[in-house]
Amino acid sequence: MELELIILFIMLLIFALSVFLFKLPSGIALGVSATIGAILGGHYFPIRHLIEGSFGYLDAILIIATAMIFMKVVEATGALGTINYWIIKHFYKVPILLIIFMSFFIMLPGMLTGLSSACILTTGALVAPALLAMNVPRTVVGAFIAITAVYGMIAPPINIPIMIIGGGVDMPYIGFEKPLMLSTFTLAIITSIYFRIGYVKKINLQDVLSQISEPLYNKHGIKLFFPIIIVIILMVGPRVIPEYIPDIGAPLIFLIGALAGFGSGEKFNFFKLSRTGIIDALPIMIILIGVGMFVQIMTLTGVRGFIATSALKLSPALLYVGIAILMPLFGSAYAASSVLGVPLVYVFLGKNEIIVASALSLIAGIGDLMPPPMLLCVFAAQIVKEQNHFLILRKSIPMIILTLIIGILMIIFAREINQLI
Amino acid sequence: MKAITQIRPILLLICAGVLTFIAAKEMLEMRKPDIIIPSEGLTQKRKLSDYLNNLLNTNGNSDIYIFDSGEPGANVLVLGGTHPNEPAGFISAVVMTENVRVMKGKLIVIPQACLSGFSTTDPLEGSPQEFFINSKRRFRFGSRVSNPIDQWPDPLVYLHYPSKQKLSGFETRNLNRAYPGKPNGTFTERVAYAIVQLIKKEKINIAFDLHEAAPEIPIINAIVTHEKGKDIAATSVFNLEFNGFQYALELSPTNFRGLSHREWGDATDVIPFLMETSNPIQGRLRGVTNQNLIINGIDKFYNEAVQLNRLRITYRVEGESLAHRVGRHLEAFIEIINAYNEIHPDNTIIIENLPNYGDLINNGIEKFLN
Amino acid sequence: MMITILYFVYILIAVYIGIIILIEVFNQKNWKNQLSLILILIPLILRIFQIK
Repeated sequence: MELELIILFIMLLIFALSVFLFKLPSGIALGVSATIGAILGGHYFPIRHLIEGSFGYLDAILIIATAMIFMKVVEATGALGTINYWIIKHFYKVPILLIIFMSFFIMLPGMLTGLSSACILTTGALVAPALLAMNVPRTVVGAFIAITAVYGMIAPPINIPIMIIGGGVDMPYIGFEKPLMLSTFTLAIITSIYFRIGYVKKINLQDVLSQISEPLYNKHGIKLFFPIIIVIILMVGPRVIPEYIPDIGAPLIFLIGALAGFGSGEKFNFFKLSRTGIIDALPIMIILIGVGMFVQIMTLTGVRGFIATSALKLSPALLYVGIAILMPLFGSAYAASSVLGVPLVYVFLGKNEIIVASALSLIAGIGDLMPPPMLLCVFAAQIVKEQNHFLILRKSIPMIILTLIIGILMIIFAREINQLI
Repeated sequence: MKAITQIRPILLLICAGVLTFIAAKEMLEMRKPDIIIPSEGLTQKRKLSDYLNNLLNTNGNSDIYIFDSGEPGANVLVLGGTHPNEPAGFISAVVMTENVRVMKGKLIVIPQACLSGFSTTDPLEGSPQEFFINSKRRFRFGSRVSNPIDQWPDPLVYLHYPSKQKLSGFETRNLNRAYPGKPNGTFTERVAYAIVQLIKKEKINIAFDLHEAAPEIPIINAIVTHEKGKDIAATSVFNLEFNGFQYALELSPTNFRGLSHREWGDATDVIPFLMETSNPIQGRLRGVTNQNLIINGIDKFYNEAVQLNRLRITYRVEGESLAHRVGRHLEAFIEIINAYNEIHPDNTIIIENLPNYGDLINNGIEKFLN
Repeated sequence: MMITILYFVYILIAVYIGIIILIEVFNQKNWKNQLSLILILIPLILRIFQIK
């Protein structure tokens, strides 16, 4: 048996033991298993590598921390509650339209930023209370926003996994709109129908409305939504009119949005909200630190190369199954696109590269839901206040499988699809 | 009671502080510059800030080595270290700097074009920070892109100036996606701009950008050039093939912006060439990542992958050693210069004392370092 | 110019988040949360001090 396989196996075992037996947070568990993996690989205790790994997602950590502060502010001003009230009041008669509307609404920030986490932390957090108030179970709401966030990340105009693949194979980011739109929008609609039929029961409007907070629009007027409007302008602006609105980065956008909350609605204590925001974001941020360490050590010890080489060793038929299993199990869309996405584009050279890369990004995107980190499930669990994020993963399984099947079919029929669209 | 409950966080913070200190100390090792000992043929040493003032006192102020024969002739520019994680490009430029004598024309070498990238390594890549050639010379192995200390934050999407081409945000710090650059742009755009200014001011006739790529990237062993360089490249590829070096000629795509072989050619009179060798430590299939992989280029997973024949991989059973890669760069450089001289007999450059592939393989790189 | 300002704004954001994390290290009762916070603090500190 190869040394790399043994190291991988032990790293995963230690991760599982740390989480299930010692009840460590998954981020710390990843760090522990990374440390042991490094020792097994003969690298002693590589402090520099472990800490360097924690830089891998530093920018994402800042985005999450600031997005969480922003969400705490719009919750405190009353904007969040007011939006909920409106959504339910206007859409309750046609739940299917409500759910489809919600899924596209959740996808929006991901489409603009290419970040799945942005979907959950912003629009996902906005619609979640409405769904909960309609008696949809917590885990189902979590699964719905988590899987929709994946589609948001993959949907055009911005798809970072494809840009990462493109960076590796020198392919410009041109011509991806159609295949991405077709695949993600279809999946989002099917997902909405699935959740509508399965979980959304007929509701009694008055009951539901009485459970949620009173809208404050009449009290504060349009300025209640200033923070949200500012964030939308600063996010959409650089994509539409880059000459006039520069890209100042998501963390600063969220902080400006949060500061715009002053005077827009109910009073709040910014510093206090920052503290609760950071604590709420803690389980997510520590996972990003842990994943960074884990990936760094996997690369250092050759385990990453072992996984990528093993994928290439699969026979052509098994390769498709292998892609569907291995890519998501990287646990991160970005990591999977970089490590497997790039060589796979070359493996399928001769098919249509644009369709193949689109499909690979869709499959890699599922990685954000999957263990070890289960990033989106943890985010979603946070939003719907569910303790066990594995339950959220479980509820997403049917849609995960459907997404993977569509992704694989796209690769198999890449040439034909290209002729059709 | 309160005091006691605060002991644990203080202890944890002290432990973290010690670990951070150890890591920081190792990271700061990368601030120590590489030592380059130029040959006696050196006539002038300049800085990139001579071509763009605002690079003064920044990590982008690369050294420029000028070998001017005093005899009128062709002006040639060589860039190494555009990507500091591609050591053959860097070391080829160092070997040139430490050996050449220019008899006619002018040779300008920038061994560390992206100087900033030499001061850090890329997270998640598990890279070593340095490597030694024959234990006597230490060189840094850096990041593919500029250090975030010099340019932060990355946008989510990098919009190339002026084409507005979209690339992932990470590429905003990639020198070879930043050309033609911008005098008041980002740190990396400014470095790119200074290099383009140098090409214009020094009236460079041909310019080289020495790279490496992951073994699974198809353009390895290719000479990439602008439309203007087609004839020279064709002649040199023919001669290289004749001497047993496999090379392909690739034309720079017109729709992929920001690269040296496209933008230098479009923005200036220069004829640009970019060359790639196979660099296992950059590859996605590589096994254990360490200094040996840089020097010997032996990797068991690439060996397996080549035999699978699933995708085009440039990897030899004996490994892709640094001497082999540097040798290829120098050999191709010599052939391109010869082809240029042949096609432009009225404006030639004569460079002497430059080792070729055979010299490097037979004697090792160390023989050609001062 | 704007790019330089943006750089310092981001360092300030890192400082602000770093301070909150430091305060919370002493406020959290659970050692797992304390450790998590400290691990997040490390890269922030190294970035703030311009080391990595």
